[in-house]
Amino acid sequence: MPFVKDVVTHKSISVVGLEKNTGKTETLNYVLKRLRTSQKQIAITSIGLDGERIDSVTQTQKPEIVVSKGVIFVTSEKHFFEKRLTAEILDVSNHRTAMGRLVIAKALSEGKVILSGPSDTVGVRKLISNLSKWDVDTTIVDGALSRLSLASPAVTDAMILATGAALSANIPQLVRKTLFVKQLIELEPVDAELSEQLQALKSGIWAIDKENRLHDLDIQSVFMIDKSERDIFEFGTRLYVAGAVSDKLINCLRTHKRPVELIIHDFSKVFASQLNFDAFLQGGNTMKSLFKNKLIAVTINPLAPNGLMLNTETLQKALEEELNIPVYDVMELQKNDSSLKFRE
Amino acid sequence: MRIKEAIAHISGFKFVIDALNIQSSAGRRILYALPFLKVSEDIEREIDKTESLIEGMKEEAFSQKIALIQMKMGELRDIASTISRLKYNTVLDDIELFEVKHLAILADSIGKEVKKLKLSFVTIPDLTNTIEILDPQSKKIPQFYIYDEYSPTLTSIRSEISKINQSEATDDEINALRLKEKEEEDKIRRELTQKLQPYGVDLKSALNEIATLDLLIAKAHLTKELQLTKPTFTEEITFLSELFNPEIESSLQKQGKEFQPVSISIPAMPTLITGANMTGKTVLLKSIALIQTLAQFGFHVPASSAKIVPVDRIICCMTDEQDELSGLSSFAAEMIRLNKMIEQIEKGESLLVLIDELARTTNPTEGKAIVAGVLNFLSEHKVSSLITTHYTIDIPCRKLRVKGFRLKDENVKIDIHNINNYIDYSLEESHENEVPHEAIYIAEILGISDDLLHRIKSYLND
Repeated sequence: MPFVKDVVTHKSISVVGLEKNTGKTETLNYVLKRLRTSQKQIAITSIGLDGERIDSVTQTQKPEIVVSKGVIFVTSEKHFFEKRLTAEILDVSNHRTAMGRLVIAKALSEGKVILSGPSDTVGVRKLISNLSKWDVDTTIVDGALSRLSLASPAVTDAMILATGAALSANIPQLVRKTLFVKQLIELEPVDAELSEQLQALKSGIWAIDKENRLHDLDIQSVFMIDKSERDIFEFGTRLYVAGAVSDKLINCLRTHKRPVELIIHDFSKVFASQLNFDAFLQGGNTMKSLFKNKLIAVTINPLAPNGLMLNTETLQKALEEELNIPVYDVMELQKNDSSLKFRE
Repeated sequence: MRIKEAIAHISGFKFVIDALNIQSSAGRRILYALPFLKVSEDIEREIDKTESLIEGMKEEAFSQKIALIQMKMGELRDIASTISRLKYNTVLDDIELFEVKHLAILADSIGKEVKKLKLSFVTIPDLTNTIEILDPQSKKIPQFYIYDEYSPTLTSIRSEISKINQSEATDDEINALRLKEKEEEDKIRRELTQKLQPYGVDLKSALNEIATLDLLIAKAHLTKELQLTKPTFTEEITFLSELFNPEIESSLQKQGKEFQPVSISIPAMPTLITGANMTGKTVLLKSIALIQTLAQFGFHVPASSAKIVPVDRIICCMTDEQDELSGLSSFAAEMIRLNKMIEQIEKGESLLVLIDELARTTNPTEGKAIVAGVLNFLSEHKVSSLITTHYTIDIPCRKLRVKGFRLKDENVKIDIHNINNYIDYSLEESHENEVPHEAIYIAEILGISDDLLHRIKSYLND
């Protein structure tokens, strides 16, 4: 399994599911299992609260992560007390989440734990950098992808994407959708200094002039951009959108017929369709993001919740051809690897 | 008065408090619980603590140790509630036990540094016993779990679990073992809590001593940064020499202007302060309120020297936006405040009364009568009080006048930007009854319309 070796070369890596039931938790558990024999210090946490974990309405089962001995995990007080393993508390952070403070602990035996982590991007970044105090080599982040989340998995250095039949039952369409996400994840980043400046802006549309000075364009919402009475290119054609990037925004910028450099927060903020995105780029415009990220592998779950099963091999080949990165079906891999037998 | 009230009511106080660089949340808790001290000796004792730190910090080695202690204080968590749970013998959970261990180890390490400084007013109790209870492996690191060393039973359950993990055991078998482990752990937590209980008092005192020291160090730095002075205390007359207002001074500095320090004495009688508009009467009252408040909370004060009579209460009667919000007219609010003041004086409290432009929102005839009446009352009760006014008051009392415009040089155009340079804010004793008549002149400087000015002047000449 080459991609697991690749994991430990990164300071931080997130595992992101493109849709529910694409096998994110399986991927995470698989990666952790493979890392059991690694000499590196691994830490694991999550971004915010995954909706499904607090779903008391549907009573869906909470996914637990299997942590092996020696791994550092970060979770909320509430989930810490629900852990099913012996763990040593290393620190309790002042960062408060809805489920209490975050506990940094080291597993002294193998067992299960529910992860919850900082609920905003700054919190995740701070946590990852604080973990170096405990000699952590690689932090793995269980990355929830949600419009509602204030935290984005884009803050990690690298990413593993879980995709599958749950996203689309049609293989070519599934490949196209996944490829689009890869393109967005690997958008060219702006330079570090500008990125820091822009991260501080929580909302609005901003112009960045030649001297990297920021100007608020006073547009309350991206939906108002075509109503703006002032010249949005007053300070040049470099714009930063802190919030969601919609079809409307992209189309509006495209129709100005001037090559725009659109800077977005990160890929998770893009809700525009691929069609409009492509048209935007073909019009001579560019799009950049605040974070440098790299997609190192894709995992697939050929089974859709409605029972539909895609052909694993066909899907895997189709994805690999388009994405040029390794694609795996982790369930399949585990079946064939007796060394990974593990109590779940 | 508590710090919170002072922040809300005393102008410029928040600026000073915000400038305090307190490291720990426990230190902030101590700050907000500071009492308003009324006895000279108590205040002096408090201020002397800061003073001895300031003295010590003149030495490089001392200063370095303080910086080291401050750094460690950043790690301090306010676990006062955990410690009180210990007092009531509530079984502590793993996170709370971790917090206790963390505090004990941190207090131990800060305590060692503090000892070297030989500060008489900080005593951090010895917490070796607490550390021993929570550190059975004697590693002296602030990490914690229910260690195997606590019980042979626990050790054997855990080794069974790890063995069974690798075998083909069923979930039920593992869960049964986990349950046994949990029960044993709970038993140990109960025992640990019981063992720790006698040290609750020491833990609390260690936490508060460190937090207090945190506040004191912040105060010492603040004193240097804002160039504050150690006040002395007296029973007779307050004397403030070259007082200034840090907030206004800092905002003036940003505009490239200077704050002109002013000196004033406040005897136990009312003083009427007159002066043209824009001559700093309101700022003077606010700065005096600030100095009195800071001193009685045990802070150094913004003046070149300060001899202060402590009071039971500071009464400030100034325009307050809150009045309108609470539905009172400014006159009504002022009268209600006056009445409260009278009640407190009659109760025998010692007060410092600062009233800005008393009765200015009503007609001058009755307004003057109100001022005269209040002066008469304050004088009879020997209340240290300052009242500013634009009215001509002809009853005998101590009167001070802001010197005001230095010269009316025809060659220099005075406008709103440079007007400060032509005002002498200092005070002089005055025996005249007549107040300065410079309102229209100042309006002119401020550049009001000629048309309006012309009309105003025509009425004045009538």
